[in-house]
Amino acid sequence: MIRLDFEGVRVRQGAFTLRVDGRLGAGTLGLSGKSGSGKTTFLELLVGLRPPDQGSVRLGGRVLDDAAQGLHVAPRKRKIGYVGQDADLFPHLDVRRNLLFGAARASAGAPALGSVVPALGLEGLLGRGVQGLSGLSGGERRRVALGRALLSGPEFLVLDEPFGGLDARARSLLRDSLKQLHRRFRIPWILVSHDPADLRGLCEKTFSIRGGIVSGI
Amino acid sequence: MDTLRIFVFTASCAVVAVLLALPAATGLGWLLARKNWPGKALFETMTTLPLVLPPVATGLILLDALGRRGWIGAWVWSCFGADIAFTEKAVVVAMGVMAFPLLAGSARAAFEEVPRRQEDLARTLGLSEAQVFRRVSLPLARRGLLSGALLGYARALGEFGATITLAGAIPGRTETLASAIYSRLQLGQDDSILPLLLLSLAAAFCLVWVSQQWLRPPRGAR
Repeated sequence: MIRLDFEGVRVRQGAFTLRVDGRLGAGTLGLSGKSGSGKTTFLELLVGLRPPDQGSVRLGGRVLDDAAQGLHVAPRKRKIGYVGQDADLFPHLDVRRNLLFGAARASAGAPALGSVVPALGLEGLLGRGVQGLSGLSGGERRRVALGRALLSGPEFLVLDEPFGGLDARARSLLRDSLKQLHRRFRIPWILVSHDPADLRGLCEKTFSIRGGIVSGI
Repeated sequence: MDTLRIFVFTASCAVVAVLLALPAATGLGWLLARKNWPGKALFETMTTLPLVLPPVATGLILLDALGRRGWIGAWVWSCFGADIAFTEKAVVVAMGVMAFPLLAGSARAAFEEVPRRQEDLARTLGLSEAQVFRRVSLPLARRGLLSGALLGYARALGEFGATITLAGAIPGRTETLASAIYSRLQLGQDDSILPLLLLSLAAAFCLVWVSQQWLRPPRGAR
């Protein structure tokens, strides 16, 4: 279960300002919003890549950011797994090493490779070397990125448009993988999608961003 | 035999010079690519100076600092009883200083090519800044770094102005490929110039070839 509290959060980026106030709480959350509405800025705020200019962010009882106190927890200490739109895999590592990239720093009790690989249907990809990375389909890349994030032992996952650019079959496979992950590991997430069907099918609650203002929380 | 000895001496000094300069140049390249600090532009200009200053002028500045009466040279003499100027060490220093801007410039370009998203992802996966550098930035920049090291090595191999000013061209001691060619030209020993010229040409060709052909990113790579 994710419980995020935002108090007077403002993130400025040139003329654009992201404003977040309120509480988000659910096992799986869906986020919608048009391009340029501030979704990526919001996600970067969550994972710690963009500290707020004002306000505070709390995860459970833990303070992640407090601009007034000058407090900012570094991304590596947040335990928030991030899967970006492009499912960037490290091009100098093979599939197995990509998957295990953050596993060494995961706390005890984090999912293990042996359970994540079948849950995501990655058995056939484990033997792919560095050269084989470029041959992975968009869906396969996202499932590897998802497995990599999961193996780092996050408290929850941030999934930034994981279905973008995938064909119907790959979307369906990825959707099934996500459902399987949730059943197996009870991992909460915030999922960003343009498609209301994705949000309805995979998230308990949804909220949206419009013009930098987060609503529905 | 003399030709081969001069080549081996020059090549060895250039290897040592590049190996000594490379860590600092890599660190500086990363700082210039990824960090901002007050006076960065001034620092950047100063590190590029050896590339644009007449090499003899660079050699003179080095001689002023590293000669027995220079502020570094005097300290080394008082502590270790050793000279820097007009020794093999001076050859290495001159080569290193002249290669440094190329090494740092290549390193900067190589780190700028590393997608920041990859570094950010590594941070979200629990890596510290030092681990991000070692496990993501450095491996992804390795082609550019190696290519820069080879070009820096080629520059060091052919160094003349700064080397002859700081180290002289003492036969059997500080004579390098470039200074040997120059000395023989002055003495009219045309016959002994050709092997030196051919060796210089072959070495330069191989280095530039490897740098441009083998270390070029694969087609279609970011």
